[in-house]
Amino acid sequence: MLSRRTFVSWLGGIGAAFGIGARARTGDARVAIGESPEQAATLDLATLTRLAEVVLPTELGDAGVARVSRGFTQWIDGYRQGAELVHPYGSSNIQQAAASPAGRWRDQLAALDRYARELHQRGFNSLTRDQRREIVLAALGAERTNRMPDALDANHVALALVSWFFATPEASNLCYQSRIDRNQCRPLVNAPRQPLPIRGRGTGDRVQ
Amino acid sequence: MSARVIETDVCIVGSGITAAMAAEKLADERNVRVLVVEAGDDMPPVQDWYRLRRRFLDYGESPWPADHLDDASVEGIQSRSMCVGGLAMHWGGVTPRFSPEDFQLKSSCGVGDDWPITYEDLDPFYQEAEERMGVSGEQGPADIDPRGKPFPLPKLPLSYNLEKLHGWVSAAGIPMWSQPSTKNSVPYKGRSACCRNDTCTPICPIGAKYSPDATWRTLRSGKQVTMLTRTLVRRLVPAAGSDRIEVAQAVSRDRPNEPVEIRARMFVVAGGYVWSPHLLLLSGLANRSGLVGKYLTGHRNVSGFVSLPIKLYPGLNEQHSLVSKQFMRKPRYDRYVRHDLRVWESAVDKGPRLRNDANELMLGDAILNDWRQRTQTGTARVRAYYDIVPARESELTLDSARKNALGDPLPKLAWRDAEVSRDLRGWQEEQIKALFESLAKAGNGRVIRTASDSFQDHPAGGCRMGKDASTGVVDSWGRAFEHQNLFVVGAPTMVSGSCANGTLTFCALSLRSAQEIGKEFSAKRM
Repeated sequence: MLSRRTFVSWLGGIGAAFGIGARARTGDARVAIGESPEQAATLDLATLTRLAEVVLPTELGDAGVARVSRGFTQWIDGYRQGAELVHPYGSSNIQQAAASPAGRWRDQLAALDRYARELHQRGFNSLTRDQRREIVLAALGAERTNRMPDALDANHVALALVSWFFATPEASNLCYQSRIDRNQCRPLVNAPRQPLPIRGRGTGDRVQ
Repeated sequence: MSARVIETDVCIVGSGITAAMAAEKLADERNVRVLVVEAGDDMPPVQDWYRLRRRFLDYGESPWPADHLDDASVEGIQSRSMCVGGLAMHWGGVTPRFSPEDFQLKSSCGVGDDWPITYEDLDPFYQEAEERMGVSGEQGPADIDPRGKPFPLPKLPLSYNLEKLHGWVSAAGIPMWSQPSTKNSVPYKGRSACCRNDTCTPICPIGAKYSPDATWRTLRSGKQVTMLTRTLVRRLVPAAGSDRIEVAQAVSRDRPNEPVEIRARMFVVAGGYVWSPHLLLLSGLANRSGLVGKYLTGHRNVSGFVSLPIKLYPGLNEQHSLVSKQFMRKPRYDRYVRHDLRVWESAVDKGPRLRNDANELMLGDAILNDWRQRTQTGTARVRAYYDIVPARESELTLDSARKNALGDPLPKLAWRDAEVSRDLRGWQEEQIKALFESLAKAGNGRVIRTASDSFQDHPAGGCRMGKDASTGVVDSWGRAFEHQNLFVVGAPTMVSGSCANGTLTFCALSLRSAQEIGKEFSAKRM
């Protein structure tokens, strides 16, 4: 088993890959929307999908994992640094979205791959599920929180992916095995009814 | 530079929900020209709302960007909004009425002050506000929840979760019913029925929840009501040797060097609890008694989460709730406490987590299985707003240290309880927490946690109504005692803040003011 210390030591110079608290709000300092150079840092979908196979529920199936991975990359590609955030209730502070974590997450995916090559002489995507899981657990070893963070605040791309998926209506449906379809347009007349059960592997409405 | 002069019959300062109510009533009933002056911008059109909601859900972005003025950051303000539609572009659309005791606090409960009107005086205007906005509601027990006529729309149905929770609170002996809301249970006034998108706050993507832009769209397409946006009224000025207001001095944010003067027969200040007293203080008006800016009011809350042995499905309609007004009526103790009670479905303590009980990090299937195990039971969110008697020194003043871009001092707010509320606060909150405990016990559940907010919600006051100039800035109609043609409408005129959401009452008061303002103009043939 890899130790967290070993893993971080190996990561060496890519300290940015662990940008704790990187999503600190920009406060009153206005920045132009979309100015961040990280904006175009599209994630490596192949590596992300192999990561997703380790951190997402197997009930999603291969197609579901691939679909969620695509949805995650599309989501972070749509992030806009500097966009005005919703007003915090009870506060007069106006806040803007901080720098995108996409660049940091891209570096973290690359780091997983480099470490796989160091350890197994093969890229991350070629490793078995157990081997990938071991590397991911080592990367997340320092996570002390019990709570799912906001995906944008996650310290590691693996955690961001987990948090993002488990916050979706699809994940709720999967958990309850019922068509709750949270935050989606649903007839008011159906509100008093117990949500319909989901049969088989489907999870109802899905992320992109 | 000479000023651009605009003449009208009625000048309304501000375009929030109370302005919309007043303008609509005047336009419906009177032969009158109305000019609405709004410092902020128009908000995005309805066809953009689904996209804006998506950005809110995905990234936490504000669906109402630029709904504020950068140079109007104020110390002590609760929520910041200055745009067409005002703060009600963000509101939750929850519309309880106050109880009769709220208007007779001194007489019926021995604390605070009586209003110069009774619940019965306001009942027809409550009804009118409910009909104009479209309130879906359920009549509570008549002795607890009196009203003159039925709600204009059928109640919002209780979700499966709320039905289960209704069974729980009924077993505890508390009558609760569907929270009245301006969310269409059926299509109404060209707006569609609610379809549980469940983002009422901050945005209903289909306009099933009432927001003032709906009224402004209709009014601005007609000929009676004109709106001047991006124009800040800086002063109201009386005619020389007269108490009558003659002109509103304003400045366009697009052409700041070109003053704008609005001349009108009647002036209506509809800037909410912050900007209404602020404008009067800047103008040096209506303040011989020194009451402008005083008696800011509102209510605090105690909230909690109760774990119950009931299978719930969080997400069916999270923003709808049960409500009870049982505790808003005469206090049940020797000491003073009145509060509402609301119950929602909740996912608190039932969400996915990263570590199991053995503190081991989980991934994938382990997270899902752990989550499933913990969702065999449910959580209810409970909350009670409790009434606060405001001190005279609960006040808005001009802030000498903070000015806007034009050099005008900004308002500064400081909230203070009257002695009775200050002394009883701890005891009042304990009574509410004890109620939560008894509720939990009745359902074989447990209170997970409780919290008390320090800020006052649904703020109001600052231009309170009174019987005469020694007790109020305005009379019961909102007319300034010192200025025959100056009205303040809505939230600022309230004497006290009750223990329920205030917006419907703000609107009812504004409609009552509009009725009085309208008497200055000929009636339309109906």
